[in-house]
Amino acid sequence: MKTYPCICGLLFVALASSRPAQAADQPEETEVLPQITITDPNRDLFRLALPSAVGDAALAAAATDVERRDLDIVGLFRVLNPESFPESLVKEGLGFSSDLWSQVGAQGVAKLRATRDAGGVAIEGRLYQIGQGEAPVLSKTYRGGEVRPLVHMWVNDVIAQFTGTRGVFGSRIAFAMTGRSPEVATIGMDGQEMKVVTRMKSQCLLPALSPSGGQIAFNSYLRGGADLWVVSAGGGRARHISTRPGLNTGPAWLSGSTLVATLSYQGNADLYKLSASDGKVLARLTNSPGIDTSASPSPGGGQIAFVSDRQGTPQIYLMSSSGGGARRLTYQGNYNQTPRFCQRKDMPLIAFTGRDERLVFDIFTYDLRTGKIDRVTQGPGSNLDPSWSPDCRLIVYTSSRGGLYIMNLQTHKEFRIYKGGAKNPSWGPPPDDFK
Amino acid sequence: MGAAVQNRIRPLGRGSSLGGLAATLAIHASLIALIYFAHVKSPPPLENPRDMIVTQLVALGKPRDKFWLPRIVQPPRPKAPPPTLNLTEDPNAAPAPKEAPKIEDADLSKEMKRALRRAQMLAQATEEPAEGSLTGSEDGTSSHGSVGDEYATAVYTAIRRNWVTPTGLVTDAELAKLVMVMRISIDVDGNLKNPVVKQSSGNGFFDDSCLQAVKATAKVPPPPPSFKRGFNLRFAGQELAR
Repeated sequence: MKTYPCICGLLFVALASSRPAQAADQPEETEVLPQITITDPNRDLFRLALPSAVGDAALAAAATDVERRDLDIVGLFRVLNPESFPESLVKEGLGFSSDLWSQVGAQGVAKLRATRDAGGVAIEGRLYQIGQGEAPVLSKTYRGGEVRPLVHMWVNDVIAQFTGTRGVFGSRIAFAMTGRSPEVATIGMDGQEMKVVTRMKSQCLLPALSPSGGQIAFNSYLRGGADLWVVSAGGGRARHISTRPGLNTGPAWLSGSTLVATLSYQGNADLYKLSASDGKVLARLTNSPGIDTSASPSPGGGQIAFVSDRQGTPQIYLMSSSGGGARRLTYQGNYNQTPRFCQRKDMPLIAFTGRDERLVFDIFTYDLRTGKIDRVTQGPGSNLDPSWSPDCRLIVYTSSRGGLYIMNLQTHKEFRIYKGGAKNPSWGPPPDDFK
Repeated sequence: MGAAVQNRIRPLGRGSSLGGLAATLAIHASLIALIYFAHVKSPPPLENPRDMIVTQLVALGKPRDKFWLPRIVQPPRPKAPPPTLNLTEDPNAAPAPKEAPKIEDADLSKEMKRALRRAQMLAQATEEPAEGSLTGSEDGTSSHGSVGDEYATAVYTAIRRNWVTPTGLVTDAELAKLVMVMRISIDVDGNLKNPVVKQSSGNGFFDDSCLQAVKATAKVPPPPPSFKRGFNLRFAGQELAR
């Protein structure tokens, strides 16, 4: 009997001591507090610090340049000015002091070490994020023969760390040069390593990189008229695909062996399916009184977006890739052209050039799920001829300002990757390490 | 009779000790339950949770023709600062020209002058400044407010000013769906303390931005005496109304 009160007392003590200590000025966990709903945050780019790479001086300088340019182009980050970094941070090496980097306003820090050994070049990368401790959130080492592709791989991994999808640095863009040498050229998406691939010595237009990136179909006036040609993306002798009477223009790759192009040898300019090897007509896809051109296949090739003026003004239409069932997509604007399908199946978007009421051309997107048109560019000047990056995060286009520009669709951050005369960019497939 | 009394007061035997044990356990159980509920059960709310709803005002202007391509709407430019006096440090500078004297029209009759004065007074009457407070907000819509709301607004304004989400890493589509709830306490000096995430949004960048907003704000005006020591801050990506 005497043990019962003891148990009771112990239980009292145990339960009383289990109550969490509560500071006098803190609300209790269970206390009902007034609620404030805060909405519509300010939006800004993620502030990323890229201190100079360490290691072999020449390699480190090259690696730093590539990394800063890549992470600026992708449009996701505000790359902090390295001149604002105090000496203690410059000499930090691959280590990381969260407090000090926080003081210079960084939200993340990416560091590189570039060295050379018997096996070639080694690039060691560390990515740190403020608020995630002192250990790197990403740590990788790459080995190869050259700095640029290794740093591209590092940047692609950094982008994946932040967004869940790898970047596409290493992919290339084909375009038609303008000016004295109007040939077809390709350039890395970082605006480096430009390569002229044709030697037609005549006006070349509308290049289209094949799905594998190995071939380029294009338009040339070498024989007087608008003819279709195909050339290896690495350069070499171009072979003509279609020199039929009238127009042979606007090629797009439906698959690795099939092209869609506008031909007018039967009188009216319509879309045809052609063999990419010998130019043989496989099917006539449209048969309308207007001009049908500028075809762009959907991912998987099931549908084709194109331009037609069959109802009076150039507008974007969509049809089955076997032809027929065309329906008009755009009803806003009276001069819409150059539709380009995003090649991601989970993003049913078409980018196009539209002329607005001020008679200025800009880039827009059409969402196939909602039918909504969104503006991508808004000056300065006219911006036209969009082409999607393989991850559909970026769009390359030309501008009346001259050159090739890349814009991030989400942040609208623009970067001029090429300053020379350029038309009709076509973004090729992702690099081999893209998943 | 004596046997009956003896039966009633006899010491507890084997069978009756089990009953006693059960009774004791029941008493303990009820005591434990009492203590448990005293600790765990929420006290009744003294007041209903207060919630602020932010209004988005449609900009003044003409509606856009539906057949035109859309434009990116830019936020309105900040108002130009009021004109200030142009001061010169040159002691030899010429004096500023005096305002030209108003020319009285001698031809106007007294009645006409009186009518003009009345018209001017009427015009001034319609341009009477809105009722408000010298410490009020430019965006304020009421001539008076309760103390509690005024303080919540001050906290809201201070924290929202420092709330920045990384565009591109949190897409607009994602942002519209994200909600994070954080509990904070505020001491008598207005220091924000003990942020505790009560409901994560599931997006690390968004949650970080909310925590960073509170950290960057650090201090808000000292609370009024009736203040309840803290707030639940509900950070919602792009919610206009609930």
